[in-house]
Amino acid sequence: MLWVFFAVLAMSAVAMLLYPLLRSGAVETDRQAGAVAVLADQLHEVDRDAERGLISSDEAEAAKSEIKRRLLKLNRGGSAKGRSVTGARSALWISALLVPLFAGLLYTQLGSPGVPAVPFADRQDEQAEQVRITELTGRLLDRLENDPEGGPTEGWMLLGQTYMRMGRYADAASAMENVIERDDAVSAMVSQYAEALISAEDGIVTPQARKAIRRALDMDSSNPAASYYEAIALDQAGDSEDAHDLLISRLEQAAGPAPWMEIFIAQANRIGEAIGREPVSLAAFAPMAGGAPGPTRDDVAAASEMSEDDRAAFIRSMVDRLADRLAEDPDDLDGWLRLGNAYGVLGEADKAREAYEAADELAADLPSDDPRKQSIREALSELGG
Amino acid sequence: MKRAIAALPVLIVLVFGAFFLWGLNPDRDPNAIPSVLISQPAPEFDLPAVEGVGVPGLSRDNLFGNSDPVVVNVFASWCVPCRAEHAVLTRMVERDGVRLFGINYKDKPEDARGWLEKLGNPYERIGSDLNGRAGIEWGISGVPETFIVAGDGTVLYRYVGPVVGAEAEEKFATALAQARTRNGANS
Amino acid sequence: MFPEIGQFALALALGTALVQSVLPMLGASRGNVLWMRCARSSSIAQLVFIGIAFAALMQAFVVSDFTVANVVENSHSLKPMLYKIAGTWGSHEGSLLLWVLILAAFGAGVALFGSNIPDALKARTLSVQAWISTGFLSFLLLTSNPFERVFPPPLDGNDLNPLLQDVGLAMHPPLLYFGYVGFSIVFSFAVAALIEGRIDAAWARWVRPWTLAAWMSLTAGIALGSWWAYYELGWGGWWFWDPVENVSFMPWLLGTALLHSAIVTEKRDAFKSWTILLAILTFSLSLLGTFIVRSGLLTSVHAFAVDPERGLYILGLLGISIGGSLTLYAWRAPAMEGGGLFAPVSREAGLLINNLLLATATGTVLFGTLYPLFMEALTGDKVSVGPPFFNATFIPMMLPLVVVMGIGPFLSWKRADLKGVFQRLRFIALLAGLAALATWYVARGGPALAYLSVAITVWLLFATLREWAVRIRLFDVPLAETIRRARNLPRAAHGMTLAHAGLAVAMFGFIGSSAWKSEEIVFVQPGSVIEIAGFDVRFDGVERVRGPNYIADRGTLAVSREGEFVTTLYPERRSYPVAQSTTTESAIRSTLAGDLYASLAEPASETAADTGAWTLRILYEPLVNLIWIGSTMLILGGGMSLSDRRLRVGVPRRASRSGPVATPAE
Repeated sequence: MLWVFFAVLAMSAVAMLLYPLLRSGAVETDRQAGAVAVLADQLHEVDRDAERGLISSDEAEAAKSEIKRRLLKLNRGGSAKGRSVTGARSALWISALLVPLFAGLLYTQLGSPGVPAVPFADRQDEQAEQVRITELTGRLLDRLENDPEGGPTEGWMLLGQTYMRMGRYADAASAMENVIERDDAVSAMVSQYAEALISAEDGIVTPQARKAIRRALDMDSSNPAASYYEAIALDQAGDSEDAHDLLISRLEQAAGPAPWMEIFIAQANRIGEAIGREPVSLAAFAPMAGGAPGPTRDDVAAASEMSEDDRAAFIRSMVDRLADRLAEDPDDLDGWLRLGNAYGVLGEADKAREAYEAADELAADLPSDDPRKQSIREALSELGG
Repeated sequence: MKRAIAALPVLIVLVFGAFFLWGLNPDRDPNAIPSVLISQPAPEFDLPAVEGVGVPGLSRDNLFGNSDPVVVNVFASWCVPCRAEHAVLTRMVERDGVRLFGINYKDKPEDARGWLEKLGNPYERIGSDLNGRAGIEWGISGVPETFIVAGDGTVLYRYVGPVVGAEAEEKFATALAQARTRNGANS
Repeated sequence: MFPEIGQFALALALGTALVQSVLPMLGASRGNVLWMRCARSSSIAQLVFIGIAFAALMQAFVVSDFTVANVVENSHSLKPMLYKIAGTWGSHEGSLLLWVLILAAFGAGVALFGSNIPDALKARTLSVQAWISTGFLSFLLLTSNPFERVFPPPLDGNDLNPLLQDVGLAMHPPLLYFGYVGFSIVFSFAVAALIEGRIDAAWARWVRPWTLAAWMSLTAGIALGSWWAYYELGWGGWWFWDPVENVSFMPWLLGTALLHSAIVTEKRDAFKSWTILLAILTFSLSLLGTFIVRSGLLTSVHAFAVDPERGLYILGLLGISIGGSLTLYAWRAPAMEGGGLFAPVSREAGLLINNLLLATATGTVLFGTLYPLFMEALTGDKVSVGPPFFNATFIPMMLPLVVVMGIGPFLSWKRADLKGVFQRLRFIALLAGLAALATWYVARGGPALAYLSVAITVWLLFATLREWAVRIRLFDVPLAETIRRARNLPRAAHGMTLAHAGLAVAMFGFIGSSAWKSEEIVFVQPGSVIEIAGFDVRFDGVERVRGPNYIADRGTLAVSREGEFVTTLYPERRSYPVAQSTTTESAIRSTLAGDLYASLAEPASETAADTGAWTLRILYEPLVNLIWIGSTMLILGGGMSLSDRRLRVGVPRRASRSGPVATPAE
């Protein structure tokens, strides 16, 4: 449907541009004649003004003689060019056809033909869903509040988490506050509560939140969320070094790749940048990418504790990140070697070869006895490059 | 001659263009207005403490005879950016040992108290400027604003808006460092 | 689907503009009629495609399609429909789309209604118009695409700013743009004439209607903008010499000069290179306005979101168009022949003074507006140039202009009899002096300049009326004869009288509301009485009222004069809980004599509101409504002039049957 409209628009563009062709045999209107007509009209006007007594007859005569002089000069200045070419229709045809072509090309750059238009009125399902969630949370809150036992802990936590997703952080914090002091509260709940408090203050760790973080850590020192917020708190209090150290040590303790590592690394690098520490990368901590020359088959096997899909996604994301970084900073020889190796493991021979070729170029300046040179040669010959 | 006159407009336009090109420099902020107070002694004001906060009030006298430059921050509990700035100020006090004074601008004491209890109180002294009188004396254009005052009571620097984000913090830190060297030279 | 259609239509418009930039121009130099005629159809095609794009964007706003990023940022599902529609041009992207739409509309206007203009001139003009169009369409598509999409769409839009929900604000940009983009066509005519190498009386006459149309819209836009600032913003003033106001005022001043100098070119074949220069500069100032508003170069209350990169792109466009046209001017202008000679006392000389003063005034405003930038660049100091500078420089230039305006229309072309004119105006000069004295008797106080201004304004008003009376021989001949004469007088002459008188009327408003304005800012408690300009205003307290989407504190003010009840005013402070913002709604009692204007300022302190004590601002602005009445007269005068049949004389159609000159019978 959309393309039909585009076609109609494009055709009408061509048609409008070709319209002059229909009026063949048209003659150019003459600039000279136009000037004469205007001067003639001025003469008439002087006459009329004189007739009505708006100007004296002397003035009228003077004005008229001046206009006549100008008319004479016009005629002396040579008549119209008199050449009226009507040919060269092909130029018009070509330009008219180029317009939709050009527009089409531009559109492929700018447009998103796949995105549907979604008027607000058509989104009632979505809005109804929103309303339903709000209603459900309201009912849940009601039930929990009216429960003589104080409501089950899971119920309050569920309510709090729902509020978090809705962006109602303060409500989330007050919902969770009801249960975190209970005996069946676990460290993860307390750290979620701290998270709600911090989100409610736009990321500022309040003394209250700090207390919750401490408690969560006391309950379970391996709770990553608690360590993370502890680091944020330290950073905000001015102890950026300690914050950085905490993040790094926590990363080092990690037994294997875990989903929280990425955010730890991002935070560590953010803090590290301010205090002038070397940036770290996921590869340094996740065993599969640990150290050059990159993930070995064993490392990949180690990641096999994860489900098949998770593992594939994990590896992919890691490799992509490395590739992205290298695109920005192409002088990293070891990086290219790791990337080549990783692609080799993934069975993407072409990309692996490209990576090794990039490494080969960088290695050209190295002394010939550098072991890396050797491994590049080997890899390339293996890949048939 | 006629030719020169006809060429004049294009020359003038070229000069204008050069100015515009300069003006587009992204580091330039046309809204930054220097305070009239800069290099002047701190204005006359005397503010009582915010009830129940536990730190004394603030007056002009407190700004004179300090050994180091001090920072005077105008804040309010109703001011959203102040929240973001609070963490930065706290860090400055705790990490860099900055002496921080506060002017609590047009704020109910109980609100200010609640705010400080929740976020913590980095201020050494806080003056409660209920009717905004001191704010006028300081010539503030909004909240928050932060001043650096030398040990001899001279206002050295003014920052309009929250000192938040790497760029702003660096600007402020530079000004503070300059103020410290100046103080050293004077005493 | 519609947003994508809009996007594609915009791309087609750019393609069309590219063709129109080249073919007609080549056609005109080679005498190829086919290529020249293509300018006509492509101008219309451009208007159609940009129109489709604009309609598509508007549709997205109307149905709140949040897959369009621009709608997300500038609308909200809960906004009233009118403001959803106005949101279309509320953002940088949308307003730029409106900009090119109006550009295309003027191009298509010339294509459709310019049948009296010779093919070659028309083709060149439309080609130049297409150059501008190409520049701005590519700017729009490459840096500020209004049809950027987001998917999945966010739940609702981001903008619910109640301050921007105002009818005046919704209507203001389109009108202002219509004027200041309208001067583009005049610019195109000028550049085309430079390329063609031919400027004469005929050219001046062909351009005149387009200059008039642009000038009228700009006048309307500026008047509406200041009306909006006065009534809706609650600032209690109608002009602030803000950079954004100045950049729309400068093209108006220069456009007014152009309107007058083109008359000399038309009637006397003189001032040719000056007229061309004015045409170029007027549009250049409009472009400068676009640049300043969008680049964040200067501090202003109404600027768009600042983006230096966009600024750089516009500066590039400016450099090419202004620099290019002025270079062409520098090359071609010296070859232009001078026109008819004239004596130091003549209509020409009067118009020359008019032009010099207007151009100097424009220069002054330009200098004042950009001075902070210059100073900052040269010395690093930040300075601000405020109303005192403009009042001190601009007004002294305007007063002599107004004096000359009174005399000018009496002067005849080439050589005039100044003595005779003064004889005719003796009584009016006397009247002006008496008016100043009478004002002093009534008002007592106020600056001396104000009395001088009153005298000069009275002079202008009555001299204008007198000139009109002389032309139709009012009271000299029987009434029937007078009416016949009035009917025979060209419409342009009536238009001039109306516009000049309109300026005088507006000037009474300017003077009254600036020299004799009274203002009180007081701390009130229920029962307090404030005296202002002869009124007694009693504050009866504030109550809380609920509106559809706001809660307001509404004050009640009982106004009386010498014990007699006049009216009750209800100024409000509204707070919108959803948008978390507060607006001030002033209450105004508006009469021809002046406006009594009250607004509630914020409570002095939080606790003060509980005790019923408030800060109240009361203003009395004498004669302020004359500003809007006078502006309307200016616009109507322009319209009257535009309808003059002489503006339609032009090229005779060779194929036409009716004869060589298309002069309709009277």
